[in-house]
Amino acid sequence: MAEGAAPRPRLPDAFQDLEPFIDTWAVQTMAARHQRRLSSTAEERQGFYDAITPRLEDILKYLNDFPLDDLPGDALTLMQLLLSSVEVSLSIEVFDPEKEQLHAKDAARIEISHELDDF
Amino acid sequence: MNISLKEELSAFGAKPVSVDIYCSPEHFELECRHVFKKTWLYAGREFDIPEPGDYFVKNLDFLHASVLVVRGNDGKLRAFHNVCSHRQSTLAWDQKGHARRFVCKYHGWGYDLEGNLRSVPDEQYFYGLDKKRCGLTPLAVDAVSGLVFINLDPAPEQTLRQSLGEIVGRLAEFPLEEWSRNYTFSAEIPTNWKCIVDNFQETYHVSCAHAVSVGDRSVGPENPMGHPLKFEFFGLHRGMDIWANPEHKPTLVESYAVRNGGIVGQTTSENRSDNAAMFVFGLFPNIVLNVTPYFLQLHELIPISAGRTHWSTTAFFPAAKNAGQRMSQEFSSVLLRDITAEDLGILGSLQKNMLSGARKEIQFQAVEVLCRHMVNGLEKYIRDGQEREQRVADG
Repeated sequence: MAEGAAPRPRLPDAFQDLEPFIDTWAVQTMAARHQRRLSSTAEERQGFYDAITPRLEDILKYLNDFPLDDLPGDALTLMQLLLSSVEVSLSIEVFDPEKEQLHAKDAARIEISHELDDF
Repeated sequence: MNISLKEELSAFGAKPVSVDIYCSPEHFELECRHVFKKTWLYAGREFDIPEPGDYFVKNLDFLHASVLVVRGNDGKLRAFHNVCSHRQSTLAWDQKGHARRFVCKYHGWGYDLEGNLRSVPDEQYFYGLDKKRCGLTPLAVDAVSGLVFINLDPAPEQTLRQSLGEIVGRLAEFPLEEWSRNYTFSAEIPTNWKCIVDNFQETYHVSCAHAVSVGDRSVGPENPMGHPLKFEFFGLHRGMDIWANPEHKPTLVESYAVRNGGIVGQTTSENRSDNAAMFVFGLFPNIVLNVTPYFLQLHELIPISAGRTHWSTTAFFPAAKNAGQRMSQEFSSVLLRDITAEDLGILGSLQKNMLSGARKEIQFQAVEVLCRHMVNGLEKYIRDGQEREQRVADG
């Protein structure tokens, strides 16, 4: 690792199976998650969706034990994956790939000017 | 909705409405002069300025107005034209901040939080300057459920509470002023502001334009067109209860969001006969509120010109208690944004088509009654304003 580079984000031990999705989906801010949805391929979204949906029960159980204003680093990474699953679920469960494409055209014109918080 | 209600609602008009009201620049000038400069306008939220010295600026460029809203040392809200009394420079340049004094950056005139002119550099070279008469120009300001409104009329006809009437109590049923978290998205739309207000005060388009995103949330065999449960009229303002389909089956991820907190489209009550998804309030002229027990959605349509509008939608939530509730809030925010995206392209086409001369009239059906109600109020306001001006001119 180069000197001064940020340590690679990690997931809690019980969720190591989701590690391949960190780079794309564990991103801070709602605007960034929306951007990842718009710039990803349908295959990338499906791959992430298929991996995370069977784990949602466990993820929520794990994260609900932490105070939200004091999440350890690995739990924060998991939290961001959880929140990305929301964007991705809309694109898969509500909009099919064709409709998602149409949707992306209009959605890209929307500016997100304020966020709920810094997750 | 019972078909007999159709006749009752025709009291608000049954004829087509002229497109000129929506798209002509002349009509827009009348609206600015007689409506926007005379009525209460939404300015922001109280919790953005909790402490003495906290302020925000509301810019209303289409009215050539910039309004400074500040919390005084006595805890009271005050509003002023954001204009220095000396050479009319803008006083506060940041959208939001904290100040003990407002000092103009042009020649350094200084004002206290109550708007009094306190300091004038090189004062002895002025010719009998009366500092008492050179304070900031005050404007009427008040807040309801944490929502701050200002009025550009130097002597408003009604207080904010008189204007909102029964709506004040309706909003008070929910702890809106405690919902400190917000998600805001915005866009500039090449369409008249009223077309966008109308979009948020009729459910007729939902089963068609939002067939994908809303789907069966507010449409179902019981109510195939998703008619509202009821309409209400509060003077210039108006409301409706949007129906929630109790048979809606949440998708997989949605079901986790539902379990961890209320989401968009979810019924506000366990009682099937009273299962509203949200309570809608159209606030004259340019605000639509969607109130639920879980969040408040505020649509604000700020005109740029007759044919352009700055649209912003904000969803306010309580601070989440845990990850599950936070996920549920993310779900509502994203779904609201996705629903809105479906309106964007359609709404952007209306203005140019109205200007094309293809049609001279707009058709409204009974379920679009709130659109008629708004236009009726607008036209009356303009007529009254013109008559008032005429009386003054006639002496």
